[in-house]
Amino acid sequence: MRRLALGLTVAIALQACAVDGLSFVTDDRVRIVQPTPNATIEPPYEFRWTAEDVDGYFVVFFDRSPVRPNETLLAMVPDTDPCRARADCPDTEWLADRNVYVVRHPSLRVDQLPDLRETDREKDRHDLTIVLFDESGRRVGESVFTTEFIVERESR
Amino acid sequence: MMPPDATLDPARSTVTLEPDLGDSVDDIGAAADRLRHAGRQALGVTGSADVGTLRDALAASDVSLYPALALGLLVAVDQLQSTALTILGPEITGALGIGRPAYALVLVVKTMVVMVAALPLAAVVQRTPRRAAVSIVTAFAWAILTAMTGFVISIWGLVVIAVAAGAATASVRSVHQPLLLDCYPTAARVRMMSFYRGFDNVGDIAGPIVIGVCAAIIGLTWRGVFLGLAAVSLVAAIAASRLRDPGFGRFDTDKVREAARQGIGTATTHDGDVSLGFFEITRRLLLIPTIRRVLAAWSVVGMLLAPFLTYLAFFLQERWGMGPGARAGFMAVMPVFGIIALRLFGRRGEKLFAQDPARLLRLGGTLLAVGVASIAVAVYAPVFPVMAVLFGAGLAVMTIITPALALPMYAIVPARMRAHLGALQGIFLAGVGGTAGLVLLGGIDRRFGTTGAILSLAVPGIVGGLILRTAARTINADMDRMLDEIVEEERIAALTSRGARLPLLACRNIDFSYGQLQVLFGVDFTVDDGEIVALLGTNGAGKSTLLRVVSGLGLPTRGTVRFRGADITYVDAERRVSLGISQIPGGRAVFGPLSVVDNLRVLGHTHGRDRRAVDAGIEASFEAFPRLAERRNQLASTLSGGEQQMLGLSTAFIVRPRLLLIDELSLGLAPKIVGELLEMVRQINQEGTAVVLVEQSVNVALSVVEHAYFMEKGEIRFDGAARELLERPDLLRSVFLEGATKGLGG
Repeated sequence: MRRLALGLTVAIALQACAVDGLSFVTDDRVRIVQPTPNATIEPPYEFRWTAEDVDGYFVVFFDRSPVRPNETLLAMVPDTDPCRARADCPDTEWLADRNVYVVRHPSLRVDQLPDLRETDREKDRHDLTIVLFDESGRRVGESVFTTEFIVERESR
Repeated sequence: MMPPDATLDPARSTVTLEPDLGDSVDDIGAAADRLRHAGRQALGVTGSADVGTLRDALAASDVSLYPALALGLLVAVDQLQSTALTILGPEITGALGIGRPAYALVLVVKTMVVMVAALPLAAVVQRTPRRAAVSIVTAFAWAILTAMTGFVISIWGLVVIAVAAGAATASVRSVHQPLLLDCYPTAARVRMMSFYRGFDNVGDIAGPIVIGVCAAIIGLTWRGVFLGLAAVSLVAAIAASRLRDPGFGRFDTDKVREAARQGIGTATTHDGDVSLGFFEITRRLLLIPTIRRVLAAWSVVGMLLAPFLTYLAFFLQERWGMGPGARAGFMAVMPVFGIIALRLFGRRGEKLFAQDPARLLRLGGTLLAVGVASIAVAVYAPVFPVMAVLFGAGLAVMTIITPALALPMYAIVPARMRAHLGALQGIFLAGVGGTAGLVLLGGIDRRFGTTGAILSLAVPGIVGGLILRTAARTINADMDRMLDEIVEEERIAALTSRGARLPLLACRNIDFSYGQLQVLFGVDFTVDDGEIVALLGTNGAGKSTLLRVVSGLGLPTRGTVRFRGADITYVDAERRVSLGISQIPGGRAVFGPLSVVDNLRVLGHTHGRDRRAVDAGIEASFEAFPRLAERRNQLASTLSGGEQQMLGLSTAFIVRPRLLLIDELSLGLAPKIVGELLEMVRQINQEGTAVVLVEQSVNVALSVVEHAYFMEKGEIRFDGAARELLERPDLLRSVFLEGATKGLGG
């Protein structure tokens, strides 16, 4: 019984592991230059980064995890969402409602970000995650480029 | 046949040994008193503050620092994977594209597994001392699993690896400290425990630094970081691979046994009792008053510590505007205070334990209160350095609590059971306390903010301190209890080696409580093989409770129950049946919805008898009780009270026990029926089964027995020949006396 459990554990673990296509060294092709880590920003919110040897485009996720490597943005859309019935799903509006933005150039301007504070005592902390997509609309590799920032808020 | 050096006590069949040994089985308690002092010395409680240097203590026992270093290395790296999973969470979730709630759940699952898996690991080492092997194997396992984390491509892989790694690192909780204690003499243990605990703090400091170096300086991704950490863990596992298990209780319980043997004057080695199973050991530990109090205190510490570390980060962010890097730096510096405190504490702790373990527990209580007070003040510190020093001081004194509590706690349980205790400590600390703390503080935070939440931790801190101080009141009694048990085991071994015949059942010094209500007080009760004994007393005297203790339905808070010399005090009721003890409970002990024959069949199968034996038993029952044969297919619920008692008594024909405990045989029955039942009890006894007859009716009981016990208010007030009991009007009140003489034919 113990051997069976051990064997099953090893088998599941090995199934969920891979060797090819994994990144072990930091990918520094993209560097976020604005905002600097933990900087406080005010609207309109400007984000800029530098990029080298990057083909395709950038997808920027605020306060959420990106899609998995090799997946398209369609993976974000639940099966029951009416958006799925449309050919261009998910479109820019659908993505913006979920704080996701697709850009070709290394900059982004956002007018609004949600207030994540639970109480007035807290600071409104956010994180920004940039991942690379190829021209076929799939995420390329595991590389993620992230930073944290604070949004200036007034007391509610 | 009687041994040549044994004589028979004329009053009973109890064996008394030759004069040079000078003690009977019933006199074991007196001998234990003489040996307690030697036992305490062997446990390191010398009563003296004169503690030598660590070097001398180690040299005197010819042991090296290696075991503590090896275990220290392992405890320093055991949390590397968890630390990395926490710090690198954003990178991992980003790379794998998994949601944060799911990721948080993985971390929670791992924490739960660490707590829960400690107990099965304790079970692995409870019979054979293979704690070193478990420590080494699990260290290699978590090194491999840390490496595998770097190759994960889905959340399921992460879950499986986190669970497996959690199970492996659980060995730290259950195995490390008991192994460490057995590696070192009692004179060095507090210092070695402090030394070991210091490595834990080193791990807390080094973990984030190593991760930072791998990520920021070497430029590794989270996958590369896990490979780096796996390499570090592997080095630690290899360095610890020369660790060997010295055996259970080499420097303490073995020494106590040796002292006991010298005191008894025998070279006999104890060959072991009925060994306790995993749950029996766990249950036994929870019956020890000091252990209960210390575990309660650990829960309170857990209630305090787990949420504190969470809220500390928010406090630093909100009150002092510290970002993640600054907070990580602050958290990494805090354990340095703990290392300094441990260095200062070791020798002082050693002295306190040697003088009186209760002092160490009291100190633990005081440290807990001082620690939380320091943290509470730190919350309102006006300047950063003052806040940092106060937090550091608070955490430092709480770091000392581990070695301060560990030694007194482990010293009062047999070495074989310490792994279970370590596991229980982890469960109470992180499971019970940590969970309760997070739930409670969530509400306080919403209402009073982070500062209020941290401040509110002072309450459990002070409560925990007070609980620990109450544990100081019981520890010496609990230590004596353990010493008495060891001495008794050795004495029994000595008696056995001399060929003395031991009583079938020997209960000694039994205390029993229902919750806070104690109902048995130091009860001694003995039954010889083939004997029939009456246990008499007023209603509520504790007779039925004593039967429950014998049959295992109730566990005593003090004292021992021995069956044919073997200690069965904490053995499960089911196992006692297989050893030969059966009880017929008072009232209607039948399954009403089943027929008579089905009742008997169920009884037989429950006790593992084969069909042929069950059928033979049923025939014997019907032969003894023809009225049952006539009603063999009738539902038991439709039988009269007397017939139901007959059915209950049939247990003896099916199970054939060595000892039959009968509770209230005559209750509510007509004299004619009682006469028939008594005749059957005589017959069962004549066939070799010893019988304990619990009765309120003196005339009924004394009509069949020669030996009687009389209980009143939870104490044995009379132990002697049945006829002598009739000469004790101070005991037998008029209600009992009525008809007693007639019952005896007098």
